[in-house]
Amino acid sequence: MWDMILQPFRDYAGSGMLIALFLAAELFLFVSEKNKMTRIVFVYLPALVLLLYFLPPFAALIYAFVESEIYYRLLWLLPVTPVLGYTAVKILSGCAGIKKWGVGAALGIMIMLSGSLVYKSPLAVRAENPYHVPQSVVDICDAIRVEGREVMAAFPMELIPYVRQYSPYVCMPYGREILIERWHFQNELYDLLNAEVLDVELIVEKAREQNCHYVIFGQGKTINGSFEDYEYELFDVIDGYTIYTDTTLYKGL
Amino acid sequence: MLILRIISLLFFALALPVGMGAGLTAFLDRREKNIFFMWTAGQLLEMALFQIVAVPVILLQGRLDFLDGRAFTVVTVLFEGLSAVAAMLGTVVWIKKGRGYRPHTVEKIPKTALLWWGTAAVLLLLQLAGVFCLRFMDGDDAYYMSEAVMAQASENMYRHIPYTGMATELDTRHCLAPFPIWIAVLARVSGFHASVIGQVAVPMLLIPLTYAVYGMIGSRLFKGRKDRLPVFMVFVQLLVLWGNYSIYTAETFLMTRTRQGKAALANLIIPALFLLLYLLGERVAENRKIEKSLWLLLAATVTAACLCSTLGGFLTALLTGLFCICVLVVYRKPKFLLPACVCLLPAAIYTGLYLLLQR
Repeated sequence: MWDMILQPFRDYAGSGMLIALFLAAELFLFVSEKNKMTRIVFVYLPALVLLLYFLPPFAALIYAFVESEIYYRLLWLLPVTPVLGYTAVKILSGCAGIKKWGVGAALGIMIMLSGSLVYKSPLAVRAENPYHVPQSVVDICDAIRVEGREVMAAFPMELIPYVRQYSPYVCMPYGREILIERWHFQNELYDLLNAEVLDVELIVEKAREQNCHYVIFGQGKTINGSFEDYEYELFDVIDGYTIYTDTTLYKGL
Repeated sequence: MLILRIISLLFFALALPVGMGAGLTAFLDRREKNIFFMWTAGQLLEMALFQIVAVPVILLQGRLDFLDGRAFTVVTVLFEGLSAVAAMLGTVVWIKKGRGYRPHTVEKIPKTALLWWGTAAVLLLLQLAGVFCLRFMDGDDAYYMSEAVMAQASENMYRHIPYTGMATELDTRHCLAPFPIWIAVLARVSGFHASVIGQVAVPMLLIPLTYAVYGMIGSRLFKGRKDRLPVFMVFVQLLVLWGNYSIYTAETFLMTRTRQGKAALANLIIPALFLLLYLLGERVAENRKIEKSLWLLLAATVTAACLCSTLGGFLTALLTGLFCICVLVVYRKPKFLLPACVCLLPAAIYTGLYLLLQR
């Protein structure tokens, strides 16, 4: 049980420096804060939340009802930002003149060094459109859409999570679940289409089993066979993605 | 056309909540009679109203012929209709009762405070510019945003797998926290694509609102020392901007996953609950009568938490419960316990319903 309590805490705390600052701020407020209500909200309440979080019977109770991945959300009840902000202002208010600016700058730098700037995250990329999906997804979905109908399309791995965020009219034989290893989803068409060497015969067989109107794959693949031999035709090449369509399937055109 | 869409979005996402909040604020202390409290209160009331309207329709679609092929439209019309009526009533109540909004004297802001306010404003503008220019990749969007996009287009709610579009049984794991459907409703009434609402409009709304809540918390903490509030706001923004010390922090959720209900829970609902508990506690400490509208707002906050996440009801109930224990021990005044428990009923109902559906 301790592992199930400590691991989410470690994951949440990251380097642990800002949480250490928060705990120091709590101690500072415990000693210095005179206002009873502020003490309750900013000192006693977070202390009780932490106590409950680390209490094994409480953790066992929560784990009995919710997924293990979300136990850390209990830590959202810790008012880390307002407590640290309030403590910083309290410290600053004890200084005067030029010292105040110096201490203010030092506190700001301490926060920046302890935390991590959100814009430095590797998950942040330039938005290409207001939908916040890759432009290739917009272009491909617009091209393969059939007015008034849904189409089934097998996409390459990197585009899968975005397709249905843009178009509800493009269905897929496999979705984001295939990308999460621990969910243990499997789809042969996905494996075939994301291999380095594309086995056309097998791809066509599996795509037809799943009523795929389109198969889409990226550049740099070695193609073993010819789609045209199986009544497929090249639909288009968009943003470096090759789109083949199955001419034997009715698309409502 | 774009201008019309923006005006329509501002009306439904901003004007209606403020109108609703104004009616509630009219019954509160003069200190709470400000535009930020109206906005926050109205947003919480609106989200609670949405939860009350949407969940029964989601559960009944497929069982009532009347809802076949129009369940999402029914939610949209019912919710926006009731919101408009509530906002109208709120505005009328505010005009009739809400005296005391205008400050009696215009205080001069010291130069240093102006400098701090300027810094806080620049930081906020940079964050809002970031909403337009950057996208944060998050796998969960493949569920939440797709669900919103699908509801807007197909009238179905939680009856298709958002990842693939295949039809399925009602998704009981997510359907009791229909935050994506709220996004889809905003998309329907404004005419924007649901992804644009989720990725751009919702962050433009929730990020400033979160700071407004922090600002109100700050104004309670620095009563009589208004010059300290802008310093607090600058530090709060630094802490949010540099709060990405792991992918699990509330601050990271605010900046990178604003369109997901759990981000709203961590950054709007929970801080707003801290503010409300502070206001309630102040009244208990000063032996003042607690206004009914404050209790209503507490119940609305708990209900809004259920809209954001299935864990929301539990977290808000836990925090409120712990707060009640603290106040009881410190002040030994048990009178407020009963109404506080009544306010937690929505959490009990939605959590109970969740457990029932999961069986």
